[in-house]
Amino acid sequence: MKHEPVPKLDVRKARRKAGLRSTLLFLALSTAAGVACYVAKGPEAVTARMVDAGYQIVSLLPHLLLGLVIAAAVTVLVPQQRVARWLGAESGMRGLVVATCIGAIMPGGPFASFPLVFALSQAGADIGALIAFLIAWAAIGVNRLVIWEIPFMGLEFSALRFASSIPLPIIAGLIARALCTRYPQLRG
Amino acid sequence: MIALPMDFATLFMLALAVVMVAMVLVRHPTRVGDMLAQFRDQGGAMVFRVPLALLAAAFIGELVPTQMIGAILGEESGIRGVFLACVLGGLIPGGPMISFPIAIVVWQMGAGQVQMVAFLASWSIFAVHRIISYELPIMGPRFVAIRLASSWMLPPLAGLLAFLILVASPF
Repeated sequence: MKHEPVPKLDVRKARRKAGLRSTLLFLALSTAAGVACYVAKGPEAVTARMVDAGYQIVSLLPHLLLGLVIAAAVTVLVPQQRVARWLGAESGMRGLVVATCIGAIMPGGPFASFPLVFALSQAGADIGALIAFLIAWAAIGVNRLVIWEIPFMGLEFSALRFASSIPLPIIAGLIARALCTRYPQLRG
Repeated sequence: MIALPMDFATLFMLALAVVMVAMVLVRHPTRVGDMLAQFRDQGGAMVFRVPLALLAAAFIGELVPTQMIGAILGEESGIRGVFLACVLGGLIPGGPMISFPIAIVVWQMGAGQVQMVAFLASWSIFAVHRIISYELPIMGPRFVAIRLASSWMLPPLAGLLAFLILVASPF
């Protein structure tokens, strides 16, 4: 890969800053919702909802912890450089399938994914593969599935949602390629 | 309400976690530290935000009229509910931290499974916040335009596929 990835330290620092901001946002949101709840429904409703949320946190905890362990292990087992090589080298239908699979197992949030997509596009990866990768990462990401969806929504619904979204990355990749073939000026 | 969650999902995740950690220990013994750092980074981000998000979602659940959303996105809302779910899902700001607590509220309010699939697909594919803070600055407007042009129809399609799966499956 020609382009160096963003230095890890900077990513960490930026991430921490964004993290603090988003924690404050959640604090503001829950406070505002709590005040609105107090005004509209009275103090009993506020207490009842806080107890509800407490129970929910406790019952989510085991799944959240296990999800974090799985995600952390994936990060080590699937190194990012190798991800980039597979995705950058391939094209064709096989490239779309590979991009979809890699996007689905790609751990981490947008902080990790977008720099990689950028590096790949600079390295000459096909736009269909890039879009298949992004849609797979967003819609059938295994990381999010184990950390968020199964703990929150349950296994049965998560399986239905996951299965319904499996074809989406390939479809998006094919459409992106067709658009760029039809309108070559889009390629730039 | 607190039940010891020894159901299939927990056992499945427990088994997966054990196998994967064992794979790291056997195949990459030198990178155990990286794994722990990753665990700490991701977990640390959640320590305060998850409880706050759940609390906010609980209050919002008290405030929003249950029957109304249920009527809008319920099983019987059909294809209109699916399109509405796509619009609502695309409007939700923030990452999984905020969308899943809200999704839970919407679901508990009686939304149908097909509509929920479209809702979550729309949230994950359109993700306004992500386009503004990452995709536009990193990839540029041309890429975003091509990406949106090739994915706008995906959330209703996911809803349709979910419907077909539910019709075809015995449960």
